[in-house]
Amino acid sequence: MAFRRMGTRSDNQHGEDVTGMRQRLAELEDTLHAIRTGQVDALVHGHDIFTLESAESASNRFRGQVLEQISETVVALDNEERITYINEAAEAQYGLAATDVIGLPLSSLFTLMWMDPAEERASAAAIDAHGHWRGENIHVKHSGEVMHVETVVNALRGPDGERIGLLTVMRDVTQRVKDREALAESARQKDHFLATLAHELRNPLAPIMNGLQLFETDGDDAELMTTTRRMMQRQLDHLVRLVDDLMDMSRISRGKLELRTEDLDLEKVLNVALETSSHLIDRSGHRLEVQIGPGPFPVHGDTTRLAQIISNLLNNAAKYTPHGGAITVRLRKVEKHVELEVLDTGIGIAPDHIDRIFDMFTQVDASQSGAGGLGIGLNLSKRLALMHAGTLAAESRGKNKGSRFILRLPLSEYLPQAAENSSTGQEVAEHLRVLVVDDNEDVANTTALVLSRLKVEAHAVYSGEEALARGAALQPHLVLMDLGMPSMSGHETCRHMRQEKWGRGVTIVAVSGWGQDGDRARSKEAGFDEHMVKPLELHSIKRLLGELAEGIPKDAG
Amino acid sequence: MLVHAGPEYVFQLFVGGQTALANRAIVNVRTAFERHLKGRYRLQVIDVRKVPTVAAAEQLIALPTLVKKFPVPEVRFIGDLSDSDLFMTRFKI
Repeated sequence: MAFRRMGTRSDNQHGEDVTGMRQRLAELEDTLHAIRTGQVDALVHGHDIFTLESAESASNRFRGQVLEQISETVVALDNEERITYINEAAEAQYGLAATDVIGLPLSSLFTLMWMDPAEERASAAAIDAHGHWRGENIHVKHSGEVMHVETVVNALRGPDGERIGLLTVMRDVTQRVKDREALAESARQKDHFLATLAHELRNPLAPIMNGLQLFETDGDDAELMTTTRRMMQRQLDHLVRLVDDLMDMSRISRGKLELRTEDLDLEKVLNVALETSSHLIDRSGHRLEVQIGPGPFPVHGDTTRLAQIISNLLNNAAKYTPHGGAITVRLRKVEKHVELEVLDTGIGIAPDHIDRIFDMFTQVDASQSGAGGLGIGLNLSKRLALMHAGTLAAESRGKNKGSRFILRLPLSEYLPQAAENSSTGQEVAEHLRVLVVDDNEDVANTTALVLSRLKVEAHAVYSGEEALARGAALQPHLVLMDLGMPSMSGHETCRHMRQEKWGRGVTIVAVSGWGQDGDRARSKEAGFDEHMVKPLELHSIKRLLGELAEGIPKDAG
Repeated sequence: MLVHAGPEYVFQLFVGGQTALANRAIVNVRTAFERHLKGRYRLQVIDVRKVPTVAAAEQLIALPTLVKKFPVPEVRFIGDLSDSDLFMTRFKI
């Protein structure tokens, strides 16, 4: 319809005036009637609005102010579930003005969803019976946002006690629900991790037990003993790696892991890692190709930790590639970085998994890969790379399409000092005398046994007191000493040794389960020459002996 | 004949804040219009306290006031609008 002016103004002036006046009169009458019957609550004069006071209005205003002040959203409904009131918090929460929704059904504010359909009936029954219900709902806002809401509903009563509607007070508990879910998820992950840990630690123990059994029953079968021993060695290496990873994770988490950085050439680190991982790669029948670009590759970092990252990548490549695959290692300089790539032809990473591959405890389904492990290796590697101001990234073209891991480290300006006459550790001096001190007799005896196989004269003692007595008689070149011994600690024993004439020049090495900087500092203070972390590895012992053999004239002792 | 693209009826309801009476008026108006004019009307609720200039511009006397803006002539109705028959008659609907 459109407004159409009827005729000209002069023709109708009179008629319109009369109609207008009659209408104004009717309006005035209505106004007076409305005021008399209490249907008006404010009068307007120009810009001023005068509120009409009634017996109820003061207390109503007070209640209104209270409802406006509280942070909970308040919505009142009549018996037909139409909105009769919403407070400011509700206006803000749902992004709608009270004047736009009053008189409309509740669904104009949000879509109400019940956690459990049975609860909807239960709430209606509770309100009918007691006039009260409290519980949790889900509200879907018009924007699509989902909110968890704690709702309290009370029946509103008229003057004669009849129900005239409902008052609902709601609190947004979305964050609380999210926190609760996150907590449950982390508890679930922890449980899963502990279960996996127990499983993974027990796994290598069974074959070691079996091996020991075989030594007792079939000790004469030389060939069987060789394969058994190799198997036990592999399982033990695996066990040690697991425990090391765990301890590193815990140190990083507590911010206790410190890098022992130096200027180094990453190619040398790569070679160490390749040596460590070669047996796993060989055993899996993989072809390994190493491509090294024009060097050198100077990096400022911690040799042990960088080797750990690279070994982890190599071991993963070997583990997650079916027997007889190909592993390629590429080392090169790219702009201001040294880039090390490990590529394999293995099971790859599904696209939806690639973002989570560095998360703690993430692992490809073990039953599928048959690989086992704790799922902390990549997380640990990435953290270590970050500590070196580097990055570790993963790429895959999809499932069964192989993986590519890229370690990038900042190129350093300094080349490592070429170590002169670096000991190969191969030549072992037969004339060296070594004293091994450990209150765990098995540890002391086996260490001495390993040393004697290296043609060194090795003696085992089981306490600090014994060590002092035996040392005076033996005049050793090297003392390997446990720190945590019950009666006289390693530190104390060392101090005493340094006061003895024979003990002043001898090389004393602390052997401890603890390898923090603080532990090392305490050892140094007590007079130790070196601090090594348990378990002692053969190559460290060889290096020690090699250095000693060089430093001591052949005719000495 | 000219065809109007908008709603058949346009109303404005002026209220003085979220008082119990104002809210009652809004509920009453919406209920009545939904019953008799569903899909044929537009209702704009204006809180005069939030838009102070509107009171003088609209020459309001008392609140709540319901104004039929369209079709002309403009007709006003004052009160809590609890008697829907009365204001519908006044609006000639």
